[in-house]
Amino acid sequence: MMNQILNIIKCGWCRLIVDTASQSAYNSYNTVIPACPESIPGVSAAQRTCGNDEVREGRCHEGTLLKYTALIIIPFLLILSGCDVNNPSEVEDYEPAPMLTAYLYNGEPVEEVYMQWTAPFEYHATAYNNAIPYNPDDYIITDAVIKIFALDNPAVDILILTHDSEVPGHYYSEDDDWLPQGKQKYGVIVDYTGPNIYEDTVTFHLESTTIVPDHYDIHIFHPYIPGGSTIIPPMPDNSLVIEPVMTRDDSSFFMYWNPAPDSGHGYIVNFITMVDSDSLVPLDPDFVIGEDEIEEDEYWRFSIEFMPEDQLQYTMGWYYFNWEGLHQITFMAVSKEYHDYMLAGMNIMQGLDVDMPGNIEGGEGIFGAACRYRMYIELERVENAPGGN
Amino acid sequence: MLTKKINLIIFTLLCLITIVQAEGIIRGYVIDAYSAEPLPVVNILVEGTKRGACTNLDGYFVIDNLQPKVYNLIISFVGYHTAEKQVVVTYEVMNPLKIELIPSSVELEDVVVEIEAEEKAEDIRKSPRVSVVPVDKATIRSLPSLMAETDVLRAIQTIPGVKSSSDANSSIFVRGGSPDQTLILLDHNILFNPTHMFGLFSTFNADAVKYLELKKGAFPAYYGGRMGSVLEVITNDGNRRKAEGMASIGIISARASLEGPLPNNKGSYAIAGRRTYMEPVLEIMRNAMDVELPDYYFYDVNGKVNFDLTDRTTLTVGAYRGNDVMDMEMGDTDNRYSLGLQWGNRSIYSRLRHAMSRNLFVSLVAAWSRYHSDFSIANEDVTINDYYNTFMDWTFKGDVEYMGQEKHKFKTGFWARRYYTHFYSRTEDVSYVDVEEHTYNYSIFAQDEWRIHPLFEIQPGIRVYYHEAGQHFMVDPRMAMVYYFNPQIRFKLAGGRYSQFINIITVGEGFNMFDMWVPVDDSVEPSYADQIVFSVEYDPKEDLQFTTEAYYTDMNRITNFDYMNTGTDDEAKDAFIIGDGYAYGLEWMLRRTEGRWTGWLGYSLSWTKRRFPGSFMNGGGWFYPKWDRRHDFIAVCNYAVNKRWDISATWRYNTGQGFTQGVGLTTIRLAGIDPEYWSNGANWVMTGEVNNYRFPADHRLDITASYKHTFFGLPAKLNISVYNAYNRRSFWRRFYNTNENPVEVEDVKLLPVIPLLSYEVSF
Repeated sequence: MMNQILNIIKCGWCRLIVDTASQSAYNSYNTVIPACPESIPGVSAAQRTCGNDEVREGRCHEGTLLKYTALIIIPFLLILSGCDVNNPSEVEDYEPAPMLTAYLYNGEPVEEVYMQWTAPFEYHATAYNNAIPYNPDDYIITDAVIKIFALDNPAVDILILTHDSEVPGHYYSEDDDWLPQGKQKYGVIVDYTGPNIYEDTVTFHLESTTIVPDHYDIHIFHPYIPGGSTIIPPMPDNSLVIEPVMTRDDSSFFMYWNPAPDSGHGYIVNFITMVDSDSLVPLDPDFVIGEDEIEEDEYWRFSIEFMPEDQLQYTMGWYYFNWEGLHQITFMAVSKEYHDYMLAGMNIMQGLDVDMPGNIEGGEGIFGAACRYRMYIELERVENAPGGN
Repeated sequence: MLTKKINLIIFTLLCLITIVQAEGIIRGYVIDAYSAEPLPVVNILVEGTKRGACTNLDGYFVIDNLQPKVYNLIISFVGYHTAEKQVVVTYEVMNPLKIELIPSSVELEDVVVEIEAEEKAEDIRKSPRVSVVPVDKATIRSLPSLMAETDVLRAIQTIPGVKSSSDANSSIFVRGGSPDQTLILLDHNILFNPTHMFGLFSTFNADAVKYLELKKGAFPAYYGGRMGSVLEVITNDGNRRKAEGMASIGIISARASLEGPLPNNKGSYAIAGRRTYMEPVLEIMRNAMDVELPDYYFYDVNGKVNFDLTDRTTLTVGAYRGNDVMDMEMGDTDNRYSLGLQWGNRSIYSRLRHAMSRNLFVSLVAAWSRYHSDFSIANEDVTINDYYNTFMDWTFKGDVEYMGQEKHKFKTGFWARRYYTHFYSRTEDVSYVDVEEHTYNYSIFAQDEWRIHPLFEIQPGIRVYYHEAGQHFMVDPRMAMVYYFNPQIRFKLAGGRYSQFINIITVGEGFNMFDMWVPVDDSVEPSYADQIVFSVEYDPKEDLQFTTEAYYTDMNRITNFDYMNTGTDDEAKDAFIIGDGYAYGLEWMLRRTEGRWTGWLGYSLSWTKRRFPGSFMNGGGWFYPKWDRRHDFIAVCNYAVNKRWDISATWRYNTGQGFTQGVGLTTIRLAGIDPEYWSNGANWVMTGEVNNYRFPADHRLDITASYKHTFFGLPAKLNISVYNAYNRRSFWRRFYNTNENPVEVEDVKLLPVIPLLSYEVSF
């Protein structure tokens, strides 16, 4: 309440104008002119007026030009002055949390595991004093002990991950034969004793589980595929490569699939442009190479398509492709945890009040799984294609 | 045999009614002297007796049990000159009176009747009904408007206890309830999504509205199906004396209306419509700024015809149609997207009113209402997605109002409704989701206004529902009571249970074009609220009313769209998370109804919270919804400067809107996508509890000045409006721009000062 009152007080310039104008209007309103007849037969007290002026105590009070001028001037003065305020940012105490990001892929060695601390927002946001740029390297966790194990199959060895000294915070499996299997449930445990971001020694324990989706067949159709269609081979052994260079004038890919039981809780397609960010060439024919510049926030080199578990076919429109060059397209049947993680994330990006997603007990993050299929295509601008303008 | 028995019962009842009515009565209609339209909630006082009545929404009244003699009636209504009429009461059954009131805008030659406050008849305030705020046409039209569009829902937002989610939304949040908890009736027919232009304007054309009444809570058993409040909008019946019209042009739209009598004075008609014409402006902006802007327009049409079948029977047939249409092309030259969006309401209804006897009033309504939306996006020749949603309601209802007892005013009736909903989501010709459902909902009600003692009156009531899907059976008891402490002061207490059988799927803060209404089925239980309201009404002067109210509402099984559901299950439970909530508060309102200065001052102090256990919202814990505003002060003022100039202004101050604050920052790693592929390094803001912070308080002044004159001999009016006069933009949303490092915090503010003109000509 006090803040709200203060906000009004801050608007003092507006109040000054209001007060001044009100006083002016008040003075003019009290200008008294000669009285009108006390009564008019057949006219009630409520109707007793002196022309357009009001009767008070038997006398008419002039509705002067000044009064009305003041009423008109007030808004315009206020418009000129404005009365806007900024939102003073407050912040609550935030305790950084350990965050695990780990993905298992059906039949692939474990490589995508990361540990980091979350950062206090107030350190890295412009709304706060002394904000500094956020550097993820300042928040990595390097000495965690991470174990992954098959919950339903005790015969499988426990996998202990190794920290990647070249990529701080990244952990991987040195055992390339330890491969997650479809329909299997896996667990992860993380133990850590060491410094937090404030250099205080802390201990934490994280754990989570996920089920790896099983394989399924994806049938893909396109004129550039020999025979018109094929089944995309599963990773990691094979990928589908479309040979001819394509343009956005080419017809779209169409695909359908027959999910096996336990093949996941939805489907996600990752589209990645395999080109360095400083070599990007837009497919947009309106973009004049050498003249136009790519905006800083346009350097995204990936897109995602999210599909619910009961969607069984898909037409791959060209709207996911913005750059020239090689593109990696990965189809994934994903675990429920990753499906929810993505869905919550997309809802949050739309400004909806959805809790920060995750399935890590004791901290933040995600332990998810997928079964992947991959293809590659190369794209170029229409005018660069044979027969282009 | 059965038919004979029924006839016998009816005959016996009619005899009893006749016997009970051994004394004389006065009954009739109060109408506008200029247009002959029936006037609702008019006060009629039998001078010297302290007996009186208040007209119903059809302008009808009955005062019974009067000794045969000559009586003097005093008839008064806001916006009209008070009138007197002498009536001779005998034991004979009298024909209905037609009492004409002259609008106060018309100057009288005669002496105006002045009545003492203590003699004033019972009116809407002097009944057990609580939390009822009537707003007449003149008030609606005099309030400052946005974009020169007088707006009914925005007028409602100026009533204490009614909040908006933001300046950009005309949805109403009454006493902590969400917009779907308010039953919106347009001429007794339900309207489901009453907004245009993404919620900026309401669908009600103010030119067509005669009267509206907001029942903020604890409403009587006559109304049902929603757990919060009732907004009843009555449109013009049409001038019964002469044909007339009005045309208006504003910055964004043109409006026109026409009304008049039917041939042989057998009734009346009224039609009103409006359409925006922003397309040329958008085209100019598109070319000048080289930006991609959509083509957009909306229109709505109201029509109504009243047929006077007999002296005692009137048939009304009415219809409404409103639509918003938006089309947009965007994207690269060789990769165009086309986006099409349209949504709107249609309704048609007929209502038969019949005075069966001198004190038995019957009404039958058959109505159909539909809301639909269709959103499609296509890339070149590929339909990426097409979302279609329609919701229909068929209603057949009837009620009988018996006014034949001095101490009782009895009303009973039934509602039978059919709900139909259809939603699909398609890509090309393939449907991923296709849900089609229908169900029936039946209810009966009975209520009585019973004057137990000259100083004490109660209004017990009950509504009983049967909902076919899931076979839900609900009983809503209602009770209201009033104690007349003295002629100026009344104490009121009211409450009851209020059930709701349809839920809305909405993404955002209020009504929007993607809304879907889903009836309760066997997978979820109906929502309901228990309400209690205590009120003190004080009329210090004839034209001055002061009300203070305290309320508490306990909301049960409330719903919220399950954002985390992507399945195609066709049960209601799959679409919603279910929770509970509460709201309580205090409201004060001081209102002046007559004189050169009219308007009101209002203040509300309120709290509302809700939770959805086990859900993704706030970890299932309690949180304040966005429309929770602790303090809300409103001043509404209309000033008749002289015959030509009117000025009106509203000023509002309220606690800032809640928002969800970022508390942490991290790097997101998606499966198979390294942060290097993000333009921002995959920085991600982690948010805290839902609406855990508040924006600064909002306050805004809106002013309108109207200049009445003639235009080539026709009455005309120039309106000059200034919206947000001192340019104090309210906060709406907080965004975090993670493309910047440090993260840029961007607060989005709403509308700045907007000065506008509109011009009306009547003919």
